[in-house]
Amino acid sequence: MSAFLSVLSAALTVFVLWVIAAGARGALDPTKVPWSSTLPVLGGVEPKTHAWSRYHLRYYPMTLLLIAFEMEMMFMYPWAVVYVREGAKALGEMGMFLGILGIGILYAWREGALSWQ
Amino acid sequence: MSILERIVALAPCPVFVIAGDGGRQAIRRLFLDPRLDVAWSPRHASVLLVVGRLRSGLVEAARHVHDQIAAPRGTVVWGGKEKAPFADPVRIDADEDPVPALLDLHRALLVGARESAVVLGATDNPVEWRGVGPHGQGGKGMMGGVPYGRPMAMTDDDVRDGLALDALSVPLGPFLPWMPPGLRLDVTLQGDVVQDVERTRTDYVTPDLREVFVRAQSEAVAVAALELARARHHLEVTAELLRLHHLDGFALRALKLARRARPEAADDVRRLSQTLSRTRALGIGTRGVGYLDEARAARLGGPIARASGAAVDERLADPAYAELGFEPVTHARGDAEARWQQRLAEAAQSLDLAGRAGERRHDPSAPLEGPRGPVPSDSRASMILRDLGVRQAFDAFVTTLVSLDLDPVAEPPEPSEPSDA
Repeated sequence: MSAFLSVLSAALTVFVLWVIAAGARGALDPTKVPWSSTLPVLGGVEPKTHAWSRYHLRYYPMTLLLIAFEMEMMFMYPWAVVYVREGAKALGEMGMFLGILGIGILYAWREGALSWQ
Repeated sequence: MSILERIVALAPCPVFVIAGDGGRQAIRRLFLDPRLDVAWSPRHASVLLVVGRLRSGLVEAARHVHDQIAAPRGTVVWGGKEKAPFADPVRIDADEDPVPALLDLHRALLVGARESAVVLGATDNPVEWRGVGPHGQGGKGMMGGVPYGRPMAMTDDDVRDGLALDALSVPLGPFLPWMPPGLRLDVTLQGDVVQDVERTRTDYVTPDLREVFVRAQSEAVAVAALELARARHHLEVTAELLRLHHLDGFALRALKLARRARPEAADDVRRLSQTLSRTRALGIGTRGVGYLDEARAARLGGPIARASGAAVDERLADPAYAELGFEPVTHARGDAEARWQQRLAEAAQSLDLAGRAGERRHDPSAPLEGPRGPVPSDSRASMILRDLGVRQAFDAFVTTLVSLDLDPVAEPPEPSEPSDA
């Protein structure tokens, strides 16, 4: 019964909050700003076309590179667990791994993947 | 005074300034006042300050900007005589200081002593949403619909690799703080890259030329006065570029140097230039931006030409300057960085010249070099905006525009094209 009461009181609280929020909306509604105040700032002219346009995300190779290297970092966690046990051998292996990745970065850099445009 | 009013009184007044005809120079001294916060966008301002006369062609644009000021909003009209198109503005004379009026209005708005001005435009979108499909875009794919009366952007081949995506048309001006008042541009963007720039009409008639250069065309004027005015101009233009790059502290330094332009300040100007060059604070955003080769720059004249290595200067043909042993300073690289370095170097040189000029006077029959080049102007500097703008990222385009220090009003009209008929 007490479980039922707590669910009921939670539901009531939500309902009361909803009524307050719905009431406050009338006073606080941001969409009530006059239409002419919402136009984009272009210096005194109205836009000619709709702003909804498709454009090429030119920096996507950089983002892909970032995601790829972030995923490589995942390998560092199990490595860190066994590092103390394995010692210098593990350090050398991780060095090789990071070295190969470093060459990958240099290659991406040469190919222009790091330039913004 | 209540506690609220006291607290409000401490806040700087966020003001958006629009320059009417001939109002451009009056704006610059507002930046020096710490009680004002000159906003980049009307959305960040509470008070609209209209400087000078608004010609009829600009009234509609001014009303647009007025509505974009964040509520509670108010308007101060500084110097305009005609009936302003705003509801209940505060009016002050051209020779009065506008700052007290701005602060009073701002405080009155914040404490509720004055009602916010109502919008002048439509409160509801006059055009209905007339879309088709789940998102109302209408037509085929993303194209063809006219949501809220505005057509969707049409595809265009990208200037870089021909990839056909939507070209966004962005009309700009006439009241953008980083554009010279009087310039209207239609910019087409692909993402953040400028695809096309077209200059459209202007409604301004008074060129942005300091009074002493106007007088020098008809009467003998002291060379020292001309050179001090030139130094002021160059420092103020550099301050605009610094402000654009959010280096407000340096901008303030340049504006203070401009205000107390004296021959002894030449070394201070050189120090400012050295600091800016050494810290690369401005260099990062300006190096390699808006490159102009020597041949094209030479046709434009003025500091733009000299920043590209062309030693063209009307002062070389002026006997008053020959006695002073005048030699133009030049820079070689021709980009936006060379242009601000050129302006600061010329400002320092002008202050030196002013110190040595003595009683020498410029003869009105001799050629006159203004702060932007020969006076009266025969260049069409704003016509190169398209050449310099296309393929640049939008931020680089804006930097280029500011670094050129255009005065489209002073330029002679474009040669009319021969008609086919």
